[in-house]
Amino acid sequence: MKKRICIIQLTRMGDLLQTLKAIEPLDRENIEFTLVARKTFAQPILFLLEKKFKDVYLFDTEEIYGQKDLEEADKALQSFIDQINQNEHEIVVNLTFSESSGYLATLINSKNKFGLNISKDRKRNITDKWSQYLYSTALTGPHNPFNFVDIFKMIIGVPTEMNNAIEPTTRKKQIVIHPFASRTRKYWKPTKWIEFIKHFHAQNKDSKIIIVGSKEEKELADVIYESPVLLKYRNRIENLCGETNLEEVYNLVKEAELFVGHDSMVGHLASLHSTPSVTISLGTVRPKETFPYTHNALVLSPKRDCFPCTSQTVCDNNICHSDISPKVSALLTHRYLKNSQAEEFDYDDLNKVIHENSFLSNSMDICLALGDSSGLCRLENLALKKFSLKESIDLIYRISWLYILEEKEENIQLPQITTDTQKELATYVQGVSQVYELAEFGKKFSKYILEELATDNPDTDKLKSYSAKLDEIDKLTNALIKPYPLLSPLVNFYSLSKANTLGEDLVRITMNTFFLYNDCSLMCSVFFDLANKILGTIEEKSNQSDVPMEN
Amino acid sequence: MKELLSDLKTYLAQVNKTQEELKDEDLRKMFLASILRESSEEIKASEQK
Repeated sequence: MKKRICIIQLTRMGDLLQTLKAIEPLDRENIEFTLVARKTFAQPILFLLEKKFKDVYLFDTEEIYGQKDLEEADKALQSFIDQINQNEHEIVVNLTFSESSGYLATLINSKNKFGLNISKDRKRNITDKWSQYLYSTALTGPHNPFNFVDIFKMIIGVPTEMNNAIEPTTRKKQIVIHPFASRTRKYWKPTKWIEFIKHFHAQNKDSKIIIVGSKEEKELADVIYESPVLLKYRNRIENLCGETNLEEVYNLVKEAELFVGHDSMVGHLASLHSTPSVTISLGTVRPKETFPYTHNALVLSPKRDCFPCTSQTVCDNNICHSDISPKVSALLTHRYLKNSQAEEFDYDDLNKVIHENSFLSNSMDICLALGDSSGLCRLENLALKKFSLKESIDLIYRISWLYILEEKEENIQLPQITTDTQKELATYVQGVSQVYELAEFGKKFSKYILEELATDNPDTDKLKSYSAKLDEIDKLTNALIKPYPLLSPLVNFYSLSKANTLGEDLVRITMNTFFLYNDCSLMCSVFFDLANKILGTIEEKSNQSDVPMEN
Repeated sequence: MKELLSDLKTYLAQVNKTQEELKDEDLRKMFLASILRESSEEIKASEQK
């Protein structure tokens, strides 16, 4: 009998498509998937979801709003949950992390629950490591170096080495453009797209562009299409914005030789068929998390301290939009398309464009998505020569988390850093050493508790005192976030893991606490080694050359 | 809808007062309250875009 896994994904279409991409490689002969999603987000892509999920249950918020009273609403919900529970689920995986999804995960029957669930004693439980990672790092700030598809794979347990079998597609000589995203902060104004299309068509004599989008986006698409600047190219532009449903858009990007757009679900649709894509990431977008999960996808983003911002950031002029030059983007897209069509992708060719246009490309990060030896997909920055502190620490985290949580070694070349970064990283090495020392103390006092519990008459006062020490250690560890803000992913992860320590009795809980401090200590060691290797690289390079390191 | 939200608020206030172990019915109503709140926040956010 096939095992069933129930996935709860109550968020937007983009997240649903990333979930779809994550489960795609799994063998359907042994496993079946159930999906619980919101009707408003899942209905438009049901044609795709139903191909991969055995059952899709759509929760309709509107239907609940329409019930005459609370009892009727509760009855409708009970009937919805009863339908899901008709099947026996081996595992329930909650990939959403909203409060509502936590209650839903508890109401769906299963012995094994991954991700957030809120138990009947009102406790919020997240017991699996990658969900703890997602909750403590990806949902709390811009410190997550993994694509969500990879995180979802690791939560569900899909081997990352398994690649999607993609049907060969006959591509048409057309380029699909979706020049919009969910919020104005994430997309260029029409003037920039007009400039992009003008330069792109000037480079590509036989290219044809199709503009897609929703009915709400039609007005802006018309501004682009009707621009007098594009008059001479109008016969090579088709404006289908507002005239296609998502299934038609899916078929268009499936057959297109290229997709160009901002960070929106259309990029994820393109990734389902590995359509080459160029994504212009702006505003609140975190490119590393949401780039279209396709080998060699090109991602352009602003090189600016305030990028990515948050929805709470006050910004009236979207200054980061001007960091991405439409002219250079068009040029890069042109070269990228040629390389995508060639037998072998010539990375140096893109580098040439970057160097030849350094004045305009200096304000941009130009990244390619690369599948690496661990089977994961990551963004490699083509324009970056020397890493900043944040970039260095992101890389250290990526290698360390994979090693600690997944026992994988990722073969990434360690970066060169600026002299400023060298100083800052050396300071962080001290911070990590402090976390390490505290974790070692945690091990020591957990061991004292275990030793006391092993005696014939455990001394309650001693146990209380050791336990108070552990609380003090945790408080001191948390206090390190203030002087070392980039250590927050590490500190938050182990703080959350500790809050979810499993065990039926005090001995087991303390043993697991000991192992947790041990893991934290190991994570610090890996971090420490990598940071020192990066710092060592600087020293070696400095010794080899008389030229002082540039800033 | 206002009536539904007001009934939910009253119900949950009662449940939270007791601090007893939650029943399935309580969990369902907590789910309803949170998903209605989350979806109204989404509507507000999309209006502000």
